Amino acid sequence: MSRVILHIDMNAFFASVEQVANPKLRGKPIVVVGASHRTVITTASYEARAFGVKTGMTVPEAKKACPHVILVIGDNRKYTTASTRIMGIFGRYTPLVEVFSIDEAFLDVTHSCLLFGTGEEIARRIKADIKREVGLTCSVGVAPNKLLAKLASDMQKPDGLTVIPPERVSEVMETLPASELCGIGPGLTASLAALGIKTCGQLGRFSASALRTRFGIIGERLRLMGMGVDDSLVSPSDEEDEAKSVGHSMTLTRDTGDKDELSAHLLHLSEKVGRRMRRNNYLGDTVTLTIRYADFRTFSQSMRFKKPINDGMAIFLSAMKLFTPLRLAMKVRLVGVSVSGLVCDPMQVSLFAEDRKRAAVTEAMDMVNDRYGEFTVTWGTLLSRYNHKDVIAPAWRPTGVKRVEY
Amino acid sequence: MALETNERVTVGAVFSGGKVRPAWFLWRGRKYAVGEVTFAWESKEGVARLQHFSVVSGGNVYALSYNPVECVWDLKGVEQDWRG
Repeated sequence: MSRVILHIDMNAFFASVEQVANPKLRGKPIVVVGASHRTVITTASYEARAFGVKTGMTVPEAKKACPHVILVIGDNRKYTTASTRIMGIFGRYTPLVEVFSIDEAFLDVTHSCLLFGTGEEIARRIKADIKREVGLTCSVGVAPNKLLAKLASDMQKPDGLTVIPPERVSEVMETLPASELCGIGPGLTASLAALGIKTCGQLGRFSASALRTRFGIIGERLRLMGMGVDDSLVSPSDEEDEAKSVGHSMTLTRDTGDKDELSAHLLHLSEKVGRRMRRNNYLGDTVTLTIRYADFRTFSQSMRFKKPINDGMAIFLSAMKLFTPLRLAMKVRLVGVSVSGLVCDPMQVSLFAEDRKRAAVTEAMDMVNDRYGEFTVTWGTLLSRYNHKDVIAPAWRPTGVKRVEY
Repeated sequence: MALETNERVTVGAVFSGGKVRPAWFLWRGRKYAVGEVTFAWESKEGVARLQHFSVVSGGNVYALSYNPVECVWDLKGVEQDWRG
């Protein structure tokens, strides 16, 4: 039995949410940006894209492309609320929903067709539900697997619906450029072109052994992709592997080499990491510090400890063991702290009075912050950092440890 | 947002079916009828799950916020667009 997979991609998600919220922005070229003065474009509306404005551009670049572009400072709370609502709509049609990112998901509706009709009919119902309840449009691809569903959703934007039925897969793949497939980037496209492979049809017919020789273990996988074959399952978020790490990073409002200032940022990040770990009952034994220099060179250093931890101060002190000996080569643009080597917190009571006191203080702080809001009780050095605006992490999910409140 | 503000306001709202919808608000001595709620979203502040509403009144857009724990409404902003 052929599977029926949907890939749903919200159109210009952040910008569309802002246009729904504010009618004055509708039909106008807008871009969503971060609060920092040196932010880049997070999303451009389709009206702005018509002028060549793209995600990742700097504000001056966007203004050059479209002088009358309207800048909107993003509000993550709007986007996470909208995403959670949209994922809830998906859940009405199938429990097999794999949240791919805040604005994308795969749905396996193979067994829902008996209840709701064909894949195309389910796609139309979901599009109508989203439009009616959230006010947004999306592009949907319907196909026998995830690879083709994603390909199909990219074929019509915005507000598209494309079906690739099983009997048309070969025909679609024959002339399709290999670069259109998810997972085949510019580097791989160039390597394939060097072998004379430009289309998926050519890739699917290419010798498997020659592809293995050139690309190693992924050679066979590439050939299957060229044939439009993908057996990967839709993995619901609640069946995802356990989190491997918990981390936060921040792009600073200005580059700095001031180690005192940087250590305050590290304390802030460590507190956030610790809070999220404790909320989800995790302990971890490896702390990783990430530094990105002003020229975007990025490096990480990790240290493993005998005893797993989850309180912010312990994480901070561990991060400082990595940070203090560092000789910074230039000013820093981004700092990050993460904890890995996660285990579920067994809630053991320590034998040592000092540890018990610290745990009691942390628990008391958590209770106050749970009731009155994050950083209501915190370290004096962090008081001025309370209003820092976060950026939504690509790993954000509507539930579980990957859910971050903004 | 053209004008960011954080002013306590009096709001007339309809509570129905487990949902709340602002109908009018008093701001700086004037009553504003809510013509349309264009978007609603949530945030968490301690135990309070704040409910935010983008509403249209008289051609302008206002951001209202309701704290169900304290039963208070705040006006957070007016006219959420500007040219950069």
